Amino acid sequence: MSTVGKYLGLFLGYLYINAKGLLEYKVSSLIALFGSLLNSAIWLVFWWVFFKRFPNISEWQFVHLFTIWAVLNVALALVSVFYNVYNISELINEGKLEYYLLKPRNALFHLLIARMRLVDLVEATIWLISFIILKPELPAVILFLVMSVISAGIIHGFLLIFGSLGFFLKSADGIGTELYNALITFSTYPNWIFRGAAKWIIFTVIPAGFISYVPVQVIYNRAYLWILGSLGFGIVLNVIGCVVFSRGLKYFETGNTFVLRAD
Amino acid sequence: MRRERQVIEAVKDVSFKVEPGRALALIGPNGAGKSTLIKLLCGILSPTRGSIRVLGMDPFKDRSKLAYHISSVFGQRSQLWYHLPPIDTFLLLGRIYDIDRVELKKRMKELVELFDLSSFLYQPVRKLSLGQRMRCEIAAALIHNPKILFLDEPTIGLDVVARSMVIDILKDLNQRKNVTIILTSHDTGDIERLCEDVIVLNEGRIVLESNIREMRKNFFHTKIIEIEFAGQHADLDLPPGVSVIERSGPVVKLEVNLKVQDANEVVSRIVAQNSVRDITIQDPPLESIIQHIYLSGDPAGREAEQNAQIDG
Repeated sequence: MSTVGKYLGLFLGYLYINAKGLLEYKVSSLIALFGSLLNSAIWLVFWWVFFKRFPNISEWQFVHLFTIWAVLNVALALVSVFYNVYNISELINEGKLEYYLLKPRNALFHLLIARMRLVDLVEATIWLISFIILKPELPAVILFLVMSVISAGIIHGFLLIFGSLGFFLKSADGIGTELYNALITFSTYPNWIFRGAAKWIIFTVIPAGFISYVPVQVIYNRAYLWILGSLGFGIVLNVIGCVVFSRGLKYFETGNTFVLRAD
Repeated sequence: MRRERQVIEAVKDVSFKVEPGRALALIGPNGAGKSTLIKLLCGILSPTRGSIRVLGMDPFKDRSKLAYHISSVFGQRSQLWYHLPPIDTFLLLGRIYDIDRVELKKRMKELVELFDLSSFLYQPVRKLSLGQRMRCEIAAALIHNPKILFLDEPTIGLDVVARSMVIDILKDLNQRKNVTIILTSHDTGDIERLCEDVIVLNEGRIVLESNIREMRKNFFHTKIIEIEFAGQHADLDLPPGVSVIERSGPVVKLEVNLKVQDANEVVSRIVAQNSVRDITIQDPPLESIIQHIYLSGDPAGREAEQNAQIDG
C-alpha cells in the first residue's frame, strides 16, 4: 500500500473509533449540539433585530452576517475533525505526546486525527442547509464550501502554531487561548467596519478578516482573487505550524502525569 | 527577583549493552533516571551527548522505523480507548502498524488466548479491573510482534494474583518467544522472577551492573534460618554472629552473619542439642540488598567486587 493509502487507512480507523465513541455517548453529544444551535439562534435573532432597525450598514445586510456565521460554523466543524489541534500545548506539557512518538507514523498527523468531535459535523450540515435555503444558487453554494474549507485551514494553522509553541513556552495554552478567542470574536462581528491598524491586525496577527470579510467578498461580490490570497495564507500558517512543531520536538521534555488514554 | 537556571543531568556516564532475548531490570530510587533511560532507548528523548543504538538504529533519528520493532508499556499511561472495548484498540493498532487483516486476526487470536482476554474483549475498558486492563495493555503492546519490550512499572497498583499472572506471561514471552525485556519496577519480587540481569541506577549513574544471581551472591552477608522445634526447647545456646530475629511459639527465626559463622555449623549445633520438626535456610529478601546499594551509592560496585574476592 502507498504511503497516502496507509495514512488514509489510519484516518478511517480513527474516524471509525471516534464515531463509535460518539455513539457511546449519544445523549450528551445531542445536548451539546442542541446547546450550540441555541447559542447560534440567539446570536442570529440579535442581529436580525438589529438589521430590522438599521437595514444597511456600509452596504452590509443581515444576509452577509448570516453567511459569515455559517462559514465560521462549518469551518470550526471541519477543524473538529482534527480536534487535538486545540490540545497540542497540553499534550506536549503533560507528556501525552509520547504515545504518538512511540508509533511508526508521523507524530503530528497522528495526534491531529486521534481525536475528532464528529457531532460538530452534524451542526455543519445544518448550517450548510440553512445557507442553501438562504441562497439557493449552485455557484454560491460551491463558493461557500470552498471558503469554509479555506477558513478551516486558517483556523487550523493558527492553532497549530500557538499549540506548537508549547515546546518552547511551557505555558503556551494561555496565550493561544486568548488569541483564539480574539480570532473567533472578531470573526463573528461585522469587521468590515474596521479601518487602518485594526484592519491590518485582522489580516495578520488575528486573521479574522480571512474567515469573515473575505468569504462574503467572494460569495457575494465574486472577488475570486481573494480565494488565492486566503488559500496562500492558510498554507503558510500550516507550514509554519509544522516547522515549529518539528523544531520543537527536540525540546520535548516529557512529563509523568498519571493518565488514562484520552487524547 | 531573578530566576536561576540549573541544568540537571537526568542520566550521565551510562553505558551498557543488552544481548537479544535477555531480560534486564533497571532499578533505582525515584528520580534515579530509569524512566528517562527508557525514553532515550525508545527515541522519545534525544541525548544531549553520547550515542544510543537499538537494533542497530539511532532511536531518536530512526524513531518511526524502530517503532515497528519495539514496544512499550508504561504502567502510568494507557493506550486503550477508555470508553470502548479493548478489541477496538487492537483493530486500530493493526492500522497504526500496517498489519494486514489476516495476520492481525491471527495475532489477536494468539494474544487473546495467551492473556485469557476472551471474557472481557468486548467490554468497555472503563468497566475492567486494573488487572484485566493491564493484561489488555500488554497484549496491545505485543500486537506487532516487537523484538524488544520496554516496561515501566507494569505491575503498579496490581493485586498479588494479577501481578503474578502478568509476570508469568512476560516470562513466557521472554523465554519462549525470545522477546528482549527491559523493565523498571520497584517490586523486587517481579524483578527476581522475570529478569536475569540488573542495572542499579542512582542519581542518573549506573551504580551496579550485574547478573541477579551474582548480585545476590556478592551482597549477601547473612542467611535466615527458620526452625520449628518439636517440643519445648531450652534457651538456645547461640554462637557469636547468630541472633534471634523472631520468635513465635515453637518457631524461631535466626539471622546468621556469614562473615563470622557458617550456616551449616549453626544448623548442626541446634539439631544436636534440640528436637527439631522442620528447618529451612533462606536468603534475606532481594529488597534488603537493593536498599543497601541505594544507601551506599557509588561504592556499591566496589563492595560487590570486594565481596566476590573474599568469597572466591
